[in-house]
Amino acid sequence: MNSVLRNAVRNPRILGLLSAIVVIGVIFSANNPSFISTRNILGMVRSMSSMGLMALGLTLVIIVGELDLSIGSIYGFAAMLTGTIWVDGVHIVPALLVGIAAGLVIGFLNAALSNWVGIPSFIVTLGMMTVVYGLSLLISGAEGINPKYADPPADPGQLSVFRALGETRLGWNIPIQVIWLIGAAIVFWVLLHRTLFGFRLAAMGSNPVAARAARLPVTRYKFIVFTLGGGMAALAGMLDFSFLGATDPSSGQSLLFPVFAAVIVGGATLTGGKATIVGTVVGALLLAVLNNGLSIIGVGAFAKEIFIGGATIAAVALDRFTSLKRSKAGQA
Amino acid sequence: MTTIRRKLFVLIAVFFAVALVAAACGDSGEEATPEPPASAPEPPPPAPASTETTASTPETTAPASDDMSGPPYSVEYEWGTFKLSDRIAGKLANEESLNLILSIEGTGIAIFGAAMSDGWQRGIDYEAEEHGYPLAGRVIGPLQTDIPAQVAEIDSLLDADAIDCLAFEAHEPGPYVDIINKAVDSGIPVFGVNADSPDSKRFAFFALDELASGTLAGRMTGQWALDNGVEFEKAGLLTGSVEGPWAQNRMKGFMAGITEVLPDIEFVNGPNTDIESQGWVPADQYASSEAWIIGHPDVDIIFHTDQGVEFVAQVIADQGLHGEMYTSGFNMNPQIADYIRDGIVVVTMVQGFSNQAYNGATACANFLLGGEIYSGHDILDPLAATQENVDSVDWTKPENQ
Amino acid sequence: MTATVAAPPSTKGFSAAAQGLRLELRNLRKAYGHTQALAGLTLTLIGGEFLGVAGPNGAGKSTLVRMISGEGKPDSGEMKLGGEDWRPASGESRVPVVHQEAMLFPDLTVAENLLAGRTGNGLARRPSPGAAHYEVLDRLGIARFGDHLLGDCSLVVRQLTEIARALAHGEQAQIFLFDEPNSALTEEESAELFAQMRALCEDGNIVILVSHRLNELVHSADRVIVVRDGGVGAELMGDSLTEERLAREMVVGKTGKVRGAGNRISSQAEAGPSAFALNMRDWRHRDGSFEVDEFGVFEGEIVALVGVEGSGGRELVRSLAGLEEVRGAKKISDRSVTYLPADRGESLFSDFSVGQSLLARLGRGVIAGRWGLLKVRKMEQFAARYREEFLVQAASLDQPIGDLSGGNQQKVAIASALAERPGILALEEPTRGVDVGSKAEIYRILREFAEGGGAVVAFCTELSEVFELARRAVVVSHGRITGALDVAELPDVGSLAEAVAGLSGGYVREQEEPHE
Repeated sequence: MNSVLRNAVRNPRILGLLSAIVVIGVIFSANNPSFISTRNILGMVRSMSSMGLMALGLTLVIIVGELDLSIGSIYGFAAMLTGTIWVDGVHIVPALLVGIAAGLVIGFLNAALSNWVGIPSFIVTLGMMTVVYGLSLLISGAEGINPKYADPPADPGQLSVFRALGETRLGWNIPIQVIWLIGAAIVFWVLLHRTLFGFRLAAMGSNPVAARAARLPVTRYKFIVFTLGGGMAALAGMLDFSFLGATDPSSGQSLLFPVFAAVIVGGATLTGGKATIVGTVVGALLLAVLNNGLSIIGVGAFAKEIFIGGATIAAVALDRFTSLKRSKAGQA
Repeated sequence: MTTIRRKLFVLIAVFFAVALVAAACGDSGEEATPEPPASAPEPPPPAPASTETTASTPETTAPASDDMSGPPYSVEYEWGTFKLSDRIAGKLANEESLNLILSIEGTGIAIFGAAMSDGWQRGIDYEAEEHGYPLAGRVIGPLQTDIPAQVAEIDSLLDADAIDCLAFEAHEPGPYVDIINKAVDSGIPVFGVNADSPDSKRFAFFALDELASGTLAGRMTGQWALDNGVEFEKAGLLTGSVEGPWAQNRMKGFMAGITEVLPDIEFVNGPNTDIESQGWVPADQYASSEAWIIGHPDVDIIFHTDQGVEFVAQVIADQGLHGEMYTSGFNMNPQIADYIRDGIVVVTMVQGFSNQAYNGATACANFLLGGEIYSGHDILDPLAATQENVDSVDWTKPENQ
Repeated sequence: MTATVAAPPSTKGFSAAAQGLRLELRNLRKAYGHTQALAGLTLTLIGGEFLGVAGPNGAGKSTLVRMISGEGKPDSGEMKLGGEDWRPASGESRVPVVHQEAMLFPDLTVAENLLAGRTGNGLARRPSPGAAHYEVLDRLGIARFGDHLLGDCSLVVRQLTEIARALAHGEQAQIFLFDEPNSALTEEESAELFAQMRALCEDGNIVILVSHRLNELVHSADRVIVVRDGGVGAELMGDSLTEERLAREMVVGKTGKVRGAGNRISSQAEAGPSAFALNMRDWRHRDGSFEVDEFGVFEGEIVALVGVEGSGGRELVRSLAGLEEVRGAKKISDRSVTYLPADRGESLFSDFSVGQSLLARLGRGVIAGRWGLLKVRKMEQFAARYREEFLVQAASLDQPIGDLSGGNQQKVAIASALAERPGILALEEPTRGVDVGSKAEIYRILREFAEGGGAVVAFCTELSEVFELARRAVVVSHGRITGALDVAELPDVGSLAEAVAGLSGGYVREQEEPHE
């Protein structure tokens, strides 16, 4: 192991999260043995993939000390845009590219407004969240879209190409969305922990003033992370659209909190500087386990909300507690 | 997040109110031009095609010693006397265009937002032609369920004198009572559609009988199993919104209906036990149904109370459970129709959202222009869609959803 | 304004009450995690005494202050005030503290800051500062900032406000704690502050001063203790209280020797200036903070820009690295400039480890290859090398940077800047808040950099630093360069002070705004 790249504070969080997942998993399995079936685990990881992809993008935004609240809306808008122009007669390939590009452009706009105009990213993306949601409703007429049943229906050849992106099952019945998630996680891990880009992102988030004094390319990097975050949200929306074959203008609205929760539970601090890809993935996994297990038991959406909210607060409280102890020791 | 969105909706409501006032001022400038719509009116909805339906009981009571010769109308109801506002009476006298407003739970909720808008407009167009009187209509409401925003929007339009007849869809009965009574007390006729607020002074309510529809779904599902030699031993329930009275009644009805036919069937969960609200987001509904289905491999038949039955069917197909697990539910769209054809969905109750709204618009027009009095609960019939009739209807048309 | 000292009126009349003042600390112990910050410290103080506290970073000075002020509780040991057991609560009104880093409210005015947290209760109407408060501000020369928002004021004013806050509440106060109060003040400002402290003593109060500046301790305090390893390592008073003794006590147990002035002159005399590393003409700040007709730095040279806060010296240093907006300027240099702020809160990345901090400023081609991929093994080697080269004392490269002492943090900060291999290093107050041992090492590091052909431009407010470090001192006043001195030719700090004073028009804080 190398010591330079290892986190300054060894993150006990991931170990804690993994044990929490094991404990929760044992409880769920005792309640319903299907929980640990391969079929359920694959389904669970598949269902977390869109949350995971968005959380990966958000991790970079958060580590540099910014926020992006618009990702949920981008998820819905990108899918809706692709679906709408596809049904209007555009070929699926350009339609897909337009959808992804829309996500990138909105991310870029977020960066432009926060960096060039100087509006805090919280405000910019809060506004963008509703603007983009409004756009989704506008272009869709508040109706869901299912290209197969559209008038006229989507070309079957194009439909099968599109559905293959998210619906394909590989060997051992592994859903392709699982591969998307794993692939993206590896790319982001390299990006954050093994490139100069990631190393500097951590520095910038850790102390923006020092980063400017050291003349690190703060503005440029912020543009990259916001744009990338928008692109990941668009990709996630597209894959879910592809998997279900249908999308809805309100899709993604309910994803915002779980995505933030995954990143925060994974050990990131909203002030920036601290976040790991492994933490984010494990955080997302914890939420997926809760979601899935509670759905099997059928205890209800209320319980889910309570558990996910509670887990987020607990994780941050734990972090606060440990870092407080540490900083006291440091002052001696 | 909700507060922010709520605030946005209130802002939109305010914006619309301002726009409406401006529009109203603009209208009053020109004299009313009662030009009937040029297009041919669409006929009223076709009679339900279902095999068994509950009886339709339109309760049109006779006017109680009311002077129907001209405005202002006054009508005796259980709660007292309704007196049409002078403002609307004046409009009628001058043949000014009337604003018929429908407030629904969520204009952005895909399943009924567009369908109800469609029905409302169809009803208005039909009646404008029928009475030869200019009618304007609009469907309002928050994007997603948001009771305070919905109520606030109605309130601001009332204050702006922008409503001449109101129809509403209530997410829950209680919170709407005050605003409905405010409208009625100020002389505006009010009707309920789809989901009621029975303790208010609303004149009449147009909707399905949820319990009866659920029972019908249960009975038909059970009968189908008997007819086709499929054994249903265990059944389960799924829903988008466990707390809604309509969902509760549908589930209770389904349990009763299927038990009539298959007395030995066992339910692994109940309307209030071990059941979760899946919400209305497709990806969430799929994931949650998937987890539940994997967790309950021994269940043969799943009843889903509303939109979402197609995701249950999709999971059944994706998990290779076709022929082992079936589902029944509510609502219709082309995708559900396909799953009915495939034999995964046994039966769904088509609510006819469009027709419910259509009935509301008709009631508004007939009350104001024809002096027709409505009261009570007008039960509309669901259309039960099965493999037999699924091909005979064009499910891409909103009025058929 | 010369330092005319009047005893703080607020404490008058209470001197009798403070006569019998006696603070006894016995066997205080306090641990933070694995670190034993205080290991049985015993100390007695009486009213009217001026105690200096010295000691290397991490020896327990700050912990001692926290115990007395009530900001922390000892794990064991006795604390007695006037013979009775005493456990100060946090925010103890009898013990006002003036902190190293001003802990004030940036959104209140300077005058309002004197009130905050001291007067009234939550329901009372917003209190307004009275004449007495303005008098205190006037005494410290910051009355004209009374109605300015504190957040808009310079560090100096913020620090003086903190002192004013302590002075303004003299009625209840008996023990005054000054934790590096003047680390950002000029010598004149400091002198005035010490006069105020002395006045507090004469009223029977106890004054405790924690400082790194040995000469101040020697000149102001009645008694100086050296805190070492969580206890009182040495106690100096009377004849034994000399700067030399103190310096020796400070570095006891340290390997290596204290570097003195002799070393300083010889090392720089050899490397005579050859060519300009940097030459500027008509260098003007956009908002007028400085206007420089000509300023040049030679290769191998260390230049100190000497000036008070607001003189423009700080901005001038920052402008070399392109961090200030300059207009109509000509800068002639093909050298890269690296800039290091004075405040370590602005130069270090708090979430980083020591190893990461050392490498934080490096870029592609050094720690990363094609595609921006990090060269992990190379990073290891570099970090290990810099740690050795720049004498960073850390348990491991993994250690969080925040766990190091101030001196070692500063060494890391300088190392990370020099790791960039700049042509010119522009920095501010290279050894602010750093212990004597680290100071000497930092001077050596900077001198070695200059000897290797680099150039250093440092903004300094402390003349002893200028004397130790620089070959040439350039005096900045009112945003203009008013003269230059060959420091190497001056025999001692005193003569440097005289010379600087001559060049800066008295070298006292000006009452009028610096720019007309």
